Amino acid sequence: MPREIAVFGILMPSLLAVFLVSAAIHVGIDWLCGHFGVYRHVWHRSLFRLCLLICIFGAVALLIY
Amino acid sequence: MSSIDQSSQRVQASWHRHVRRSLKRVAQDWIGTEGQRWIFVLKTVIAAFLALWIAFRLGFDSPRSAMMTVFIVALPSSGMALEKSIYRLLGTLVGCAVSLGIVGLFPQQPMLLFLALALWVGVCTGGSALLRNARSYGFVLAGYTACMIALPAINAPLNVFEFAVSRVTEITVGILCAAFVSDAIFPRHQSDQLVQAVRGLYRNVVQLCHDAMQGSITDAQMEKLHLQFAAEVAALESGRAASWFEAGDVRTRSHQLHAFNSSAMVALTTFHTLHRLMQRLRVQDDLLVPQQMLPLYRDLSQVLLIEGQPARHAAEAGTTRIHIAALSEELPRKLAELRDEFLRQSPTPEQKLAMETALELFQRFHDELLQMVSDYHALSGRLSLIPAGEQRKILSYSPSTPPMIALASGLRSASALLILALAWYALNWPSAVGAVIIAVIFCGLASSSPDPDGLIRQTTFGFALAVPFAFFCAFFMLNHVEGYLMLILAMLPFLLAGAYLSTWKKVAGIGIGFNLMFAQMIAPENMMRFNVASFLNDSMAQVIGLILAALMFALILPEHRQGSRRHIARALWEQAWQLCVSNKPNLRHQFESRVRDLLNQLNMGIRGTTDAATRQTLNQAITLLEIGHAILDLRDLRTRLSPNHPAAKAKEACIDRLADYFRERSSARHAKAVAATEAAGKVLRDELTRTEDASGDAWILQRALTNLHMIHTSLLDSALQTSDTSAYFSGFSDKEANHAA
Repeated sequence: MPREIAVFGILMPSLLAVFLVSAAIHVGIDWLCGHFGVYRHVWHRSLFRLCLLICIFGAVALLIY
Repeated sequence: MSSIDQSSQRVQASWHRHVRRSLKRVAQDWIGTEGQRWIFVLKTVIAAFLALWIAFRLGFDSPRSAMMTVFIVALPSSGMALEKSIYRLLGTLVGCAVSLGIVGLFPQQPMLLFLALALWVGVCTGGSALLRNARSYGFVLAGYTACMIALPAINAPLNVFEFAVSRVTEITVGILCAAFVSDAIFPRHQSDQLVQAVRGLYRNVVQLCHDAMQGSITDAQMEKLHLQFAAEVAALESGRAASWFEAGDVRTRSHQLHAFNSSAMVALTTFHTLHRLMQRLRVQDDLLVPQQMLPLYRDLSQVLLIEGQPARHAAEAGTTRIHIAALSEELPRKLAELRDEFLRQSPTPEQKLAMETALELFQRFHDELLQMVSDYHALSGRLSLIPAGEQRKILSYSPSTPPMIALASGLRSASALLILALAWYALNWPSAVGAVIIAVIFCGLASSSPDPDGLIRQTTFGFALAVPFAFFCAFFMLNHVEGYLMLILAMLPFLLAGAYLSTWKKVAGIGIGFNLMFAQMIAPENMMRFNVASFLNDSMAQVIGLILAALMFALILPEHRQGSRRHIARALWEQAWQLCVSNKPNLRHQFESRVRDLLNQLNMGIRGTTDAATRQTLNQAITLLEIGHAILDLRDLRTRLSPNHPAAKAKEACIDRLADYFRERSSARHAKAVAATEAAGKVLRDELTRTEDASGDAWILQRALTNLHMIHTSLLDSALQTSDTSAYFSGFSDKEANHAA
C-alpha cells in the first residue's frame, strides 16, 4: 500500500482514506446493532461501539497492507 | 457493672451506625450533584490536554485551536457532544471550501472579497436562525470559518490553502479527542434523559386532562401548562436528535417518538378546544350541557389514572390502553343515550348545537387519546417497528422561526462584517482582524440563541476575566516551565476553575468564555513566544470584538430577535392564513407543530413574569389552534360534497372571509368573517332540515355545522377581537402613507 495517495494533486495519507471507508462500514454495522438490539446485551455501549470501529479500521488496514 | 457496660456499648454501636448512615447519605448526595459536575470537569480537562498533546506531537501551527474545540463541544451528555462535534466538523469543512473559493475568485481585491464574505456569512447566519437546533451551529460555523481563513489571507493569498488544511486538521483532532473522552469515559447518555422526558410528557398530558375533567384547574394554570407543554415537546425533539448519535436503539425508534409527540399534541389540542367550549358555557351560566357531559368525563378520567397517578412507564400504560379501548367500544351507545336524554330536557337550539359540538369533540378526543396511549405503550415493546396494518404517515416536529427574524439576523451579521472589515482595513491595527472575527462569530451565535444579550454579556465577562489570569500564567509561570507535564500543571488550576464554572447553568457562558480566552491568549506552542505587546493587543481586540457584537445587536434591527412577541404574533396569523388557502399535504401536522414551536419560542423569550401583551399572544395562539382544526375539518368536508351543493358554496365563502381576516386584521374584516360564519351556518341548517334521510350527506352537514359553531365561538373570543397588533399595523401603515405623501 502506498503511504500517500494523490487526490486532485493533493497528497493525502492513504490511512485517511481507509479510515473514512471503515467509518462508513461502521455506521452500517452500528445501525444493524441498534436495530437488532445488540446494545441491550452490552455493558458499556459506547466503548463497545468504539472498539468495533477500531477493529474494523485495523482489519481493513491490515487487509490492504 | 456489666449491664452498664453493655448498654454503653449498645449506645456506642447505634451511634456508630447513625454516623455511618448519615455519612453514606452525604456521600451519595455529593456524588449525585457535585460528583457529576466534577466528572464533567475532569473529562473536559483530560480531553483538552489530550488534544493539545497530539497537536504538539504532530507539530501543528496553532495547537490551541484543538484545545479550544474541546471546550466548545464539551456538553454534559455524550449524545449532545457527538451531535455538536459532527456539525462542527461539517461546518468547518464547508467553510474552508467556501473560503478557498472566495479567495480564489477575488485574490487581492479586498472590496469584492469583503462583499462575497458578507453575503456568505449572511446566508449562513440566516439559515442558523431559521433552524435553531444543533444544525444551526453548523451553519454559523460554515459562515465564520470562511472569515477566519479568508480575512488573514488577504495579504498572503498563496497561503490560504495551508491555512485551511491546518484549520481542518486542528479542529478534527480536537473533535476526535472530545468525542472519545465524552463517549467512552463515564458517559452520560442522552437516551436515558430522553426516556425521562417521554415519561414526563405523558404524565403531564394525562394529569392535565384528568385535572381539567375533574374541574380543578384554573385558566391561568392552563395557560402556564400550555407553555410548559410546548417547551417539553420541543425538548423531546431536540433530545431525540441528540440521542440519534449515541450507541443504542433510539435511532430505530425515531419513528415511534415522532408518532408519540404528534399524537400528544393533537390530543391535547382537541381536549383544550372541548375544555374551552365548556368554560365559555359556564361563564354564560348555561350549565345544562356541561352537566350532561359530566358522566362521560367521570368515566374517562377514572381510567386515565392507575392507583391515583398516571402510568409511570410505557409498559404500565398497557393497562390504561386496555381500559380506554373498552370504553371506546361502549362509546357510541353511551353517546346515543346521552343525546336522547338531553333532547328530553327540551333544550334551546343553541344548547342543542353546543351539545352536538361537545359530543363530537369528545368522541374525537377519545380516539386521539387512545392513539396517544397506544403510541406510548408501543415504546415499551422490544420490536421497534410500527405495528403492521397501520398506514399512518408520521412526520417529524418541524421548527419555524418567523422568516423575518432569520432574514434580519443574516442582514445583521453581513453588515457587521462589512462595516468592521472596512474599518479594520482603514485602521491599520494589526490585531483588529481578531476583533472583526470575534464580532462576526458572536453575531452569528447569538442570532440562533433564545437570549442573545445574555450570551454576549456572559462571554464578554468571561473573556475580560480571563485576561489578567492568562497574563499571570503566561509571563510569571510558563516562562519557568520545562516539558509538557509542567505545562499541564501551570494551566490546570485556571482551566479547572473555568470548566467548573461552566457546569452552573446560570453562569455557563462565563465559564466557557473564560476557558476559550485563556487557551487563546496563552497560545501554547512548541516554540513558545513571549510578547507582552502582542498579548495586550490581542486580548484587547478580542474583548473589543465582543463589545462590537453587542453593539451591532443593539443597533442593527434590535427588535428582530428570537422570541420577539410581535413577530411571533404575526407568524401565527400567517400560519392561520396558510391553513385557509394552502393545498399542501400534511397541513394539519405542519400547522400543529409550527404553532407549538412558536409557543415554545414565546416561552423561551419570557424573562421573569409574563406581561399582558405576551399573554394576549399566548391566548391568540391557543385560539388559533382551535380554529385551525375546525377550518381544516371544514375544508376536508367540503371536498366530499359536490361542488354545486349550496352548503359547499357557503363554506367556501366563509373560509374566504376568514382568510381575508387572517391576512389583514381589522374590525371590519372581523365582522365580515363572523357574518359569513353565521350565514354559512344558516344555509347548513336549512340544508340539514331538507335532507332528512340518514344518508352520508346529513352526517357531513352535521359535522360541518359543529365546526362552524366552533369557529364562530372562537372568533368571538376576546383573544382574537381586540388585537393590539392590528392597531399597531394600521397605525404603522397610516404613518407610512403620510410619509409617502
